Amino acid sequence: MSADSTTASGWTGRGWPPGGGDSAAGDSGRDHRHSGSQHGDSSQTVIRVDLRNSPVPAAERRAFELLHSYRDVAAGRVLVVDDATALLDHYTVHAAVRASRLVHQVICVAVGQPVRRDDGIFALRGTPVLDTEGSATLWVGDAEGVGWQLGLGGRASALAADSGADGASRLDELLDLLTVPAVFDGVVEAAGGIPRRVACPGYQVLAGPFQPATLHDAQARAVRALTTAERPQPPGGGSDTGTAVAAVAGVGPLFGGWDPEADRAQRIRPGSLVDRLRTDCRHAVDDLEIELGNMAGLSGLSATNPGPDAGRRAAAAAGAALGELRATVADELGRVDGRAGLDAGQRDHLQQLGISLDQVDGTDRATVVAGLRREVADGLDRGHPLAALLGRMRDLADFAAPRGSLADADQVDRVCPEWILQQLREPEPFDLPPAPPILLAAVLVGCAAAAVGGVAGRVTGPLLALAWLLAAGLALHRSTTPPTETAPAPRRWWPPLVRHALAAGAGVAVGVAVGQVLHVPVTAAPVALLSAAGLALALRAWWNRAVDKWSKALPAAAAGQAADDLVGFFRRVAVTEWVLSDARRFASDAARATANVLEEVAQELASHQLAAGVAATASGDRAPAPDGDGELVAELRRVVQDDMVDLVKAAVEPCWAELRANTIDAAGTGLAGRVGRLLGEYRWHLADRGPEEPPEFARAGASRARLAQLAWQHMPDANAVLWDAGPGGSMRQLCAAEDLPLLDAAPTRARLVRFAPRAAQPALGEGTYPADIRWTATGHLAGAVRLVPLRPGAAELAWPQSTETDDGLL
Amino acid sequence: MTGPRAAPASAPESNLVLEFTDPAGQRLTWQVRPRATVGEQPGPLPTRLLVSVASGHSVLQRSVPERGRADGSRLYDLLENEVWAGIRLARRYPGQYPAELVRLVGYDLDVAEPFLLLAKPRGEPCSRFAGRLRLDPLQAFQAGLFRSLLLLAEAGLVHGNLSPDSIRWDEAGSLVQVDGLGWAAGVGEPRRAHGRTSWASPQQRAGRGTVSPADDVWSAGMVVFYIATGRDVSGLTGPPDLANRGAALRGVLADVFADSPAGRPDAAGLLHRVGAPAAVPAGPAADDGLAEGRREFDRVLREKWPPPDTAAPPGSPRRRVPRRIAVAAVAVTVVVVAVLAVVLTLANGSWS
Repeated sequence: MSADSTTASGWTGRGWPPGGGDSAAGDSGRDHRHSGSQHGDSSQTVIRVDLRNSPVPAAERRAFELLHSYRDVAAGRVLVVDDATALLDHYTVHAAVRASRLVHQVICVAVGQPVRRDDGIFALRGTPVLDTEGSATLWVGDAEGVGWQLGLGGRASALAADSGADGASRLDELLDLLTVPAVFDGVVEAAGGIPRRVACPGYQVLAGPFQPATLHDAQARAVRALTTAERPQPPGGGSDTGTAVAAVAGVGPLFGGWDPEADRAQRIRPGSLVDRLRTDCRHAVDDLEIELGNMAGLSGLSATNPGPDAGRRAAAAAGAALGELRATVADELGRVDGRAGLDAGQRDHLQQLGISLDQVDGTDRATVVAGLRREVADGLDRGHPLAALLGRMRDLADFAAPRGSLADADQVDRVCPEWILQQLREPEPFDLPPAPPILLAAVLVGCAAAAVGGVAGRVTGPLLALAWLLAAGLALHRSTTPPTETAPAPRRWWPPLVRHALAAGAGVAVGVAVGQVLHVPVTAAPVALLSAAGLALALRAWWNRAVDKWSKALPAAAAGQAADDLVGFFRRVAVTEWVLSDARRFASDAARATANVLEEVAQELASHQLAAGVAATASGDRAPAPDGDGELVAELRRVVQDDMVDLVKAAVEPCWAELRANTIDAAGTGLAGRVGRLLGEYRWHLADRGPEEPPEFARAGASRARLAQLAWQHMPDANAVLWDAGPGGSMRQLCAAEDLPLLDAAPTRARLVRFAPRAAQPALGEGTYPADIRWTATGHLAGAVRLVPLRPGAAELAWPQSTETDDGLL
Repeated sequence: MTGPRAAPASAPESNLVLEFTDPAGQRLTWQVRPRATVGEQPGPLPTRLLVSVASGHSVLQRSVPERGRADGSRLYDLLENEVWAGIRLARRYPGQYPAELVRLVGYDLDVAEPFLLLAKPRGEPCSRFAGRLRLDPLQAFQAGLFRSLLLLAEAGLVHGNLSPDSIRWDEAGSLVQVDGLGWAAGVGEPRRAHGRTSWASPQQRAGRGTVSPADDVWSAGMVVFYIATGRDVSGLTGPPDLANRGAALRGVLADVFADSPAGRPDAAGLLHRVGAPAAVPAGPAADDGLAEGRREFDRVLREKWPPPDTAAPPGSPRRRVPRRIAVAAVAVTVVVVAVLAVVLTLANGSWS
C-alpha cells in the first residue's frame, strides 16, 4: 500500500502496522490515518495526530503536514492525542485543526493525571476551542483505568483493575475504538449533551471469537495449500494440467490450437512473387488440360493438331512452373526462419516478397498478458497450488515458442510430392495399342461388308481397306514418342500396319467371296458408307482410349491442387512463424516470466510461513486450537484461504504492467518485498481487526459475511454488552481510582455509545437490537463507550493570556 | 612423489606447492592456495578450489583420497578416465580450446592422492535454471549443448554421463559448459552398464553394444526437455512424452529418443534444427598421435602405480592395440608368403 492509498494499513492497537503508516514530520510512527472500511471510502476515514511530548513548533508542524497530506481526502474526522498538561500550550494547534476546512469533527484525548494547584484539582486545563460544535474532549487520567460501576445516588465503588490480556495499554484500545468512524461519530454526538463536551471515557469491548493460534493455523493451512508440490505427473512426463491443445488455445491464439485460416488478412499480396508463380502454375496446368482436350477425337489425328507432342510440352511447362513454385517456397521458408524473431533485414525481405506483416487480431501484448492474468486468477480461484499454476505457465511458454519456418521447409516435399513433378517433366509414353484384336476384327468385318455388294463391292471394299490403312498409319505415326532418358526407345510405327493390312485384305476377300457365293442382294454404296462410318467410329474409339489413358497418367489435376496446397501451406507458415514470430516470442517469455514470478511467490510464502511458525512456537502458540465449532473454523479457513489467494493476486499485480510494457526482466522486481509486506500486514490484520473484516487487498465475499454471522453467534456475551449494559453498568473507566471523585457519578448524566459490526446483525437478531447501536463496517469488535462528565470545576477552559489565534494555518 | 607439499618458509603458511603434468606432457610446478571444498560436483571425487599464487587463476582439484585407492574403489578409475579424456580433448583442440568443454590443466597420478586440475568451470549446474530460461537463453542453451556433443564426437569421445549435474550454464555469457568426463569413453568401445536412469539411454543402462555418440544425444535430449519444461524426469525409465508439448520442442527433440541409436539424429543435425552452425575448431584427427601418447600414458601407470586387483575387462579396447598389430603382422606375413610362393612356382615353371 502506498502512502497515497486512501486506506491505511489498519489499526494500531498494538503498535504500528508493518511498513508504517502515513507519516508527517517528526515521529512517523505515531500519526496515522485509519479507515473503518476498505477500498478507499474516504468518508470512513479518521486521521490521528499525536501531539504528546511535542514542543509547540513540532506539534504545529506535524499537524499541518498531516492534514496537508490528506487535503484531497474529505474525511473530516481528526483524533488528536495530547498531554492533558499541554492543552494550553498547544491551543494554537487545536485551534488550527478545528478551524481547518478539512475538519468537521474533532475528538481530543487528553492524557495525564490531574494537576493539583492551590486553587483546586484540575483534570485538565484547556481553551474554549475544545468546546465547539462537533468536538469532544476525553480526559484519560490513567492509561489502564479501573473497573467502575456508577452507583445509585452518585456513589461509586471501584472494582479491581485487570491487566490487558495481550500487554497493550487500555488507552491504545480506546484510541483504536475511537478510530472506528461510527464510534467516533457516536462519541462526538454524545459529547454534545455533556457540559463543555468534556468527559472521562470508559469502555467495554468484545473481540471476535478467534484465538491467535486458530488464526495462525488457518493462515498456515492456506499457505500450505498454495505452496504444496504439484500433483503427480502422469507417466512419461506429460502435462497433468489439462494442457490439451484446446485448453491451451483458450488462453489465447498464440498458445496453440489457433487456426491460421481464421486470419482474414490477405497475407500474400496479389502480384507478389509467390502469387505470380501460382498464377503461372495455374495457367500452365490449364494449358495442359487444353492440349489434352485437343488431342481427343478424330481432330486429334489431323495434321494441324500437334498431338501428343504438344501435350508433352505442356506437361513439361506445368512441371517447370510447379517446380519453380515449390523451390521458391522451400527456399524462402529456409531463408527467413523466424525462430529467433525477425530482424529489420528479414522484415524488408518479407515485405518485398509480398508478405503482409500486419498484426493478427488478439495477439497484442495487452491481450496476451490479459490471458495469462486470467489463467492465474482462475487457477487460484479454483484452488490450484502455485506449483501447478507455474507448471501450466511453463507449458504455455512451451506452446507459444515459435518453431521457425526452417522446420517446415522439410515439409514442402510432403505438400508437393516429387512424383508430380517427375511425371510432368517426364510423362509416360503415349501408348496406342498397335493392333488390338477387336479393332482388327472390326476392320475385317467392315471391309468385308464394303466388299459384299457385287462388282461395286470389289471397288468399295478395297477402297475402304486402303482408307483404313491410311488412317491407322496416321494414328500409329502420331502415337510415337521421342526417346527420353528414362523412356525406352520408341517402337517403330509401321510394323503393326501389316496386321491392319492383313485384316483389311482378309475382310475384302471375305466380302467378295460372300458376294459371289451368296449373291447378297445389297447395294454397294450404302453398305460401304455404313462400313466406313463404322470404321471411323472404331478409329475414334481406338485413339480416344489411348488419349484418355495418357491424360489420366498425367497429374494435371494433382499439379493444380499441389500448387494451391503449396501456397496455402506457405501462407500458414508465413503467418504462424513470421507474422506471429515476435508475438509468440513475447507470449512465451511472458508466460515463463509469470511462472518465475509464481515460483518466487511460493518460495517467499513458504519461507515466511516457516519463520512465522518458528516465531509462533517460540511465543507459545504451538498447536492450533480450534474454537470448538467445526463449522466456524471451517468457514474461517475458507475466508483465510480466499484472503491468501487475494494476497497472491495483489503481490503479482504490478508484474502484469511490466509484462504489458515488455519490460519482462523487471516483472519480478520488488516481488519478495511485496509478499513479505503483505504477509506481515495480513498477520497483523487477522490479529487486530479480525478475519470478519476484509484486508485492503481482499474481497468482501459471501464467506466473510457468513463468518461474521457464525462468529457472533458464538458470542453470548454480546447481548450482555449491547442490550443489558446501561450507562451505569460496570466497565473500565480510564481514570485512577483516587481520581474518580473528579467524575460525575450520576448514571443519568453519563452517555453510552453502543457499537457492533454490521456483519453481526443477523447473529444478533434482526430488528431486536437497540435503536441507538452504531453499526460499524469492521467485523471485529462490539461493545460500548461510556462518557462520564467531569464534576464542575474539574475542567478549566479559558483563553491564555495571548488571545489571538493563528489564522490561515490550514 | 608424495603430492602437494608445503610452500617454502618464505611463503604464507596456507600455500601449497603443486607439481603436475600438463596435457602436453610438460612438468609444471605451481604455488597454490586452497580456497574451499566445492560441492555440487558431477561425480563422487572430492573437489576443492585452488588459486594460483602467481597468476591468480582458479583451478579445481579433483583427487582420490589415499584410502580410496587402497580399497580398490572406482574413484581412481574415474580420475584416470577423466585425465585420459581431458588429454584427448586437449590434443584434438590444441589451439582455441572450446569453451563448451571443461579444460584439463594438469594431473599427477603418481602420488599418494592422485589428482587432476581443471580450469574453473563457468556458470552453475543447469538444474538451477530448469523451466526458468526465456527463449533466447533457452535457444542458446540448446545450441551450446548440441555443440558440445559435436565437439566430443569430433574428438572420438562419448561423455556417457550427461545430466543436469554435469552440464553448466553461464547465464551472463549465455554459455554451456560440460563437465564430469569421468565416465567418458571412446567411440566404438564396448559399453559398460552405468548411467543414471532418467538421463542415460536404454543401451547405456543395459551396458550392451558399443559406445556411440547417440548415447549422448539421448541424454542431451532429456536435459533439453528438463530445462525447457522444468518437469521432473527423474522417475522416468523411458523417453518423456512429447505429444502434449509445443511444436518448437517437438521439432528439436524429434527422433532423439528413438529406440535404436542409429535412428537418432547426430549433433550436426541437432544444431541444424536450432539454426546454429556446426563448425568445430581445426585440429588433428581424433586418433592422430594418440596411440603413442596412450601407450606412454599406460606404461607410466603400469610402472609407477600398478592397477587395483581387478583384472582388465576382457576385450578392453585399450588392450586391443597390440592385438591389432599382431593381426596386421599375420596378414602381411601371409601375403608375403603367398607372393613368394607364386614367384617361386613361376620361376620353377620357367626353368623347367
